[in-house]
Amino acid sequence: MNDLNNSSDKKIEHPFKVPNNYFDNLESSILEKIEAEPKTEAAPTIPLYKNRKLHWAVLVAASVSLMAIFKVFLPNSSVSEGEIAYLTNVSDDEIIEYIGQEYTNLDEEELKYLYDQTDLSTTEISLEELATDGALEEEIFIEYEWIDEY
Amino acid sequence: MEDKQLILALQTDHLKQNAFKNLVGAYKERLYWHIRKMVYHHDDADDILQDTFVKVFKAIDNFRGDSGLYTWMYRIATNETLRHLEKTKKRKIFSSVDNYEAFTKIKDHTFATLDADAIEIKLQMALDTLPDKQRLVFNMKYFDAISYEEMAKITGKSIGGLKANYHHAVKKIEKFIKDD
Repeated sequence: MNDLNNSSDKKIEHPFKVPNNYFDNLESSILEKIEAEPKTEAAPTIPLYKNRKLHWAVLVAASVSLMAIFKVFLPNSSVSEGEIAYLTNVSDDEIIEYIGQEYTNLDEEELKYLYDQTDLSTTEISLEELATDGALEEEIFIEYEWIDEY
Repeated sequence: MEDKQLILALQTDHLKQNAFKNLVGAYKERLYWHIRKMVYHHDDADDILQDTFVKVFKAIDNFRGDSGLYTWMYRIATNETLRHLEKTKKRKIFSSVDNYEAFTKIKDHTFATLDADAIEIKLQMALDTLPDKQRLVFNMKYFDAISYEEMAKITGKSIGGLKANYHHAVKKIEKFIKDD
């Protein structure tokens, strides 16, 4: 056995045995395996508002954006009862879609302003959802501890 | 065929299958032994090797050539192997064997009798006591003579950290052999 501390000069044989002719047809076996796999199709595009995990986050962002818009652009004006009634009837999904279409180009300062205006303690993200996301993040860290993209 | 030409062929639809055969032919043994030394059992090594090449086939179109082709495949094989070990909760070949005499009774099922002398088998038993990642570093350095620089590219770890891992592995192996 070579000196363990000085092993950089050449490869060392290992003692494992391998079945006879194992390597002979490996190329074909692997290609057969690839061909047997179901063809991967392009992932369907899921609208943002149908993604449950993002739903609450986007909803909060949408609400905050609307509040900020009123605050920035209409600081001294009061919103009429008719406008409030109209906004009350707008569904969450419509708000999310609207924000997605119109307000995806906010710059960093605008986002920071919106963030500062948000009272996160009043959001309705449940502890369960937070725990799930935390667990998922942990799993990803474990899985990709040694992994780069390829 | 050079790696550059091979990559180009692999990324060209009508050449891909033939180029892939060449790729597997060129690298199958090296990758197999890299995996086998980590998982011990041939069947596991075979599964992981095949999964590795399937991933290579699927991902080759996105291969940017930032690292060498072999380094890239080595990294995939390493990740697949570590994932397998994690999934199987470090099932080890010697886990039910607590002494050398008992081990020698089963060695013929795993080791080629002509190739495995007592000290090599003892080394494998010592390696079996190491944490997976330490064992991986030891295998790459000791058996495959991979430089720390190359190892760093494969594992994404620092050279200093890899050297420390190898140093700790050597110390543990020496202690295992002395104490046995």
